[in-house]
Amino acid sequence: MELIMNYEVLAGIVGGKTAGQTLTDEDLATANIEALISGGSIKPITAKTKKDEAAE
Amino acid sequence: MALTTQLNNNVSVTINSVDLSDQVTSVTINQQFDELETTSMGATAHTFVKGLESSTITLDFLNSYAASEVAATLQAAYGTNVQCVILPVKGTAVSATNPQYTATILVNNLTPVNGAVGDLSTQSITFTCTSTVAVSTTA
Repeated sequence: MELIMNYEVLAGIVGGKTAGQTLTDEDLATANIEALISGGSIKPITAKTKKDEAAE
Repeated sequence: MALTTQLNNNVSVTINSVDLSDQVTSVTINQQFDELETTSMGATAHTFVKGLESSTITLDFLNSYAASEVAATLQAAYGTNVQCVILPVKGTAVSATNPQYTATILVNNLTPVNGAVGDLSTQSITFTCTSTVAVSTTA
């Protein structure tokens, strides 16, 4: 089962999204996500499976 | 033909997907490659061929310590390779007249505290590119 991670933008503009908006792993495919989290730019908010997404 | 000029006041700079444009005061992409000498006996001038690309990107920053701003973004990426994307005119579609430059840079040579009393805290960093500089004219 493949996990899909979502992230909330905490400040600034990250991946073209502003604070409060949501990014996915795909949006951050070329980014160093650990650095974004430790820099306070984003925080992980959910971990969904592809199965969960299909059910929504 | 009319002369086309470019006012350099709206360049978009994104490092590790974080938009730092409003904290950047100067941008310089130096596209270069190693020149490998091939001069041989009988030559009357030095000759060279293209070697590996060794480009650099120099950015002047206004130091700012809030989340998603200069210090936090660079410190978190210190010592790692991250993507840097530069667009001459922010908010305008990538095109032949607004080409997008993308490179992987090694985040190094930080000076997060810099300046004398009364000065604005700034840092000018020349990042070594660890990839070629890709130039895209389509989104």
